[in-house]
Amino acid sequence: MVKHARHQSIGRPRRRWWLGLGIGLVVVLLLGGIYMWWSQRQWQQTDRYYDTVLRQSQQLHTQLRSGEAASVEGMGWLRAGLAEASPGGCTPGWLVAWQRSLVPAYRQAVQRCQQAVEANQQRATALDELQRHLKAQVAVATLLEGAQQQLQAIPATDYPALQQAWQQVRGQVSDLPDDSRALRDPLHERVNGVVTAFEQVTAAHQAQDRARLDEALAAVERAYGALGGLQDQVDQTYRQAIDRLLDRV
Amino acid sequence: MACTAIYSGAAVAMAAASSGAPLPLGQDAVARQEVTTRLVQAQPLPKALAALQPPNLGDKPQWYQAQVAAERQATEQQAANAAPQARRPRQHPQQPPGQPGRVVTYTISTRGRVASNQAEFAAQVNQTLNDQRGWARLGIAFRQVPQGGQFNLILSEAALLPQFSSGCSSEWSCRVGPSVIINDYRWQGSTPAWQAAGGGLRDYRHMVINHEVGHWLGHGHIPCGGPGAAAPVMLQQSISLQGCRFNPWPLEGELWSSTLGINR
Repeated sequence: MVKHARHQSIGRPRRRWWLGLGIGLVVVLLLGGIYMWWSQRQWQQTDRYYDTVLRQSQQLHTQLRSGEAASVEGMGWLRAGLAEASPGGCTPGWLVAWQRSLVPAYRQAVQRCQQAVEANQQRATALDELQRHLKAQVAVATLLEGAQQQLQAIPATDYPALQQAWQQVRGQVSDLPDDSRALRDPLHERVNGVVTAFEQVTAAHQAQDRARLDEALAAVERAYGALGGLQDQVDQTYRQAIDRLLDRV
Repeated sequence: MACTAIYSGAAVAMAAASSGAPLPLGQDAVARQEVTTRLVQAQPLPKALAALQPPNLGDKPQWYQAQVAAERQATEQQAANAAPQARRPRQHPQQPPGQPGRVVTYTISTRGRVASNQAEFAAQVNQTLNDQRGWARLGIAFRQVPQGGQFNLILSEAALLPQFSSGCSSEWSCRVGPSVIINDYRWQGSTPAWQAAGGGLRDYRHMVINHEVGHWLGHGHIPCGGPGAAAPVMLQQSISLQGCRFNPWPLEGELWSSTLGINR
């Protein structure tokens, strides 16, 4: 009786130990499986993120070729297509990210994804710049078209009225927003040249000095010529912005 | 195994993306040019600037016209007193018909670093000014003199143009008082508007000389008379033809000079 009892008391802990070990192994295997499944999902997410970024750049390429960018609104659409992406989106959480130090394929996938994101960010910046240029041109063109209508209504020899109209244009140019500064400042300088020339014309007209009037009218022509020459300067800057975008698409 | 599967998935995605897509615009010159052209044409500013034309500066106020008329009357009176014989219009009284009666002198010089051949410049200027399609039709002959000319033709480095006057731009040629300044850069290559209209370099040179000397003769700018019409030489053809055909020579209606007292 006693022997039997001793035998039972010795056998129970052993079974428990094996049972505990078994359960522990099952739990570890289960957790390991969950971790592997979760890791895989995390890496797939990196993969999907990369695909999304690639699709955005392809879409930009296609839309640029189709001519959809040829307006401020069109550029806005293109820009919206390049949704904000960050290189951080390419890296899974730290519980998984460490695996790239062991697996070269993961490391390469992250690097490739980050490069694609950075390239898209550069495209977005170039597109923003181009859109800013075009917006400024639209604002200036609207202003000049309005001014021309007003100027056309003034008789060619009503010099004080022409001078006043150009002074108004100069004021309107000054009021252009700061983000069009690259265009506003050279335009202001040239419009100021026209105003100055008309001031000379008005002074010569009032003094009834023919030689001075001829000189001043020649200055008006030159000032208009300088204003027309603004296009070359604008064109150059605009083409540089286009090149910066196309170099990245 | 899982790692390889994921990696290969990314590789396939990338391969699909790159193989299915057209060449990058940075490498496809034709597509790039097309996109660039579309974007450049989308600019609204060139149209607005081209439309911004000066008023007809050839129109002069009444007091100005009265002064000119008075001077003309006085000149005619003097001429009548000095030479009572019949006077041909735009003809020096002492010259036979068809021969220039009045000599206008000019000097030629350069300013800054000039790339053009100066002898060729002088020769072409002389040829243009005395061409029977040009201002010579006023009945005047142009003669180059070493100094003391009535006007000075200056071939100038483009960057130095603004030094002549605040109204002069490095983009164009201009005239300041007796100085007729030709932009060396344009002399060598004309302008985009001129090239777009199919104008050649020699014609551009005729035009720019006639235009700037036209200012010295007393002309302001003139707008295009209508689509397809020959452009007045005093139209700013370097900037825009406004629908006119390019024309390097003065039109019949432009044959006058307030500077020389030659009326229409």
